Amino acid sequence: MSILSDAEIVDVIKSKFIPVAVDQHDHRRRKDPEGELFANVLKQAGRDLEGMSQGFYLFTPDGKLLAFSNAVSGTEMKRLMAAALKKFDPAADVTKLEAGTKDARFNYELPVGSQVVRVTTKVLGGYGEAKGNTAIYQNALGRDHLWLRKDEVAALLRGELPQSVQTRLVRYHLVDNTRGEPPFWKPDEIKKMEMALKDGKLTGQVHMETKSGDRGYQAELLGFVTAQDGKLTRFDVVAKGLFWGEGTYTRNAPKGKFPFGVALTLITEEDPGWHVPPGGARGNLATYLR
Amino acid sequence: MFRPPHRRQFLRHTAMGAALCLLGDRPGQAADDGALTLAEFEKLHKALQPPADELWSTIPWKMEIIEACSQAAKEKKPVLMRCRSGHPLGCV
Repeated sequence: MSILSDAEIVDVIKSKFIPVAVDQHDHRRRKDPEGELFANVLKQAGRDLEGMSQGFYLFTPDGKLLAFSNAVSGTEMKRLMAAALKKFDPAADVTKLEAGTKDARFNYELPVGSQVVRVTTKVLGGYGEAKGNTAIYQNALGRDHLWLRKDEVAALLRGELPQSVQTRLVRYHLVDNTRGEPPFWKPDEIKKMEMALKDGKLTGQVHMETKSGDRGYQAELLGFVTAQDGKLTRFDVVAKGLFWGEGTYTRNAPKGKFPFGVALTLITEEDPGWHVPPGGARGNLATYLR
Repeated sequence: MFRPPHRRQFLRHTAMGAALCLLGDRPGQAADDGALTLAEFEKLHKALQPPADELWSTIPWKMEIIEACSQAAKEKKPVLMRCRSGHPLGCV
């Protein structure tokens, strides 16, 4: 059971803590007060910016570490939170921290007028029997978000499917991210990208493959796009086909070619994922949105 | 008009070659490469939706540590930071 699917743990987090979720890839590189605070918390946990940093860190409002663990069990997580709460003094004086100027390289502001699409992925077969954490990974949904620019939304409203949307979808979102951070497709790895939008129905065929042929995906696409009052109201698409290979951080893919599916679903501002930057935007939002 | 055998053979092979070219190169094509049906779309799209009752998504996560610290100072609570590779809210 995932730690954060434990109702008791979630209840304590919501009532006793102020929770924050960060991507260490960005935070370890940030040259701003946020990055300095991140480094300071890691240092107190005996870690530095060059090594492993994943885990749960519990600290005071001015960054003094109370407890830390790369907890993998609910029992350990409960113990961790209890220890932190025992050490924490709510009456203690707190030094106010200033946000300062944010490192522009990691500013992932959703452009005005954009709409966001949730992307989920899944290996549909090919694994052998697995237990424990391995089974969790093998059954997991990969998740990400596709950002659509204001002008791309306008084009979709006119019944057009911009090349930029097609390329972004293919390069950054038809990837196997179910076991970790995936490699994205390079432009010259797109062997086929044929999509069409007609009367609200999106169809397509894609084929991506590395030069060595050790990784690839061939799939059919089908989806539906609708709009109302100048906004998209539906952008539901699926891709289904055969994937093969793995990336450096997505090891242990099924052997050979395996069925792999991707689903895209339009979300609203109320969705928790609305402001989460796409994986492909990391460190360079401008390139991702091109 | 008499055509030597080698010429007929040449024409036949050329015609066969042209036919093969028209078929195109389809390496690694899946055995089932037909277009998706509406039923397949609906089944797959539904199967790939995250559970509606995921508890982690009900947690009011901040995405900036200093912002979390500021709120923590107001509410006199400690901060709990979840650090992952890849955004914790964007991936599994």
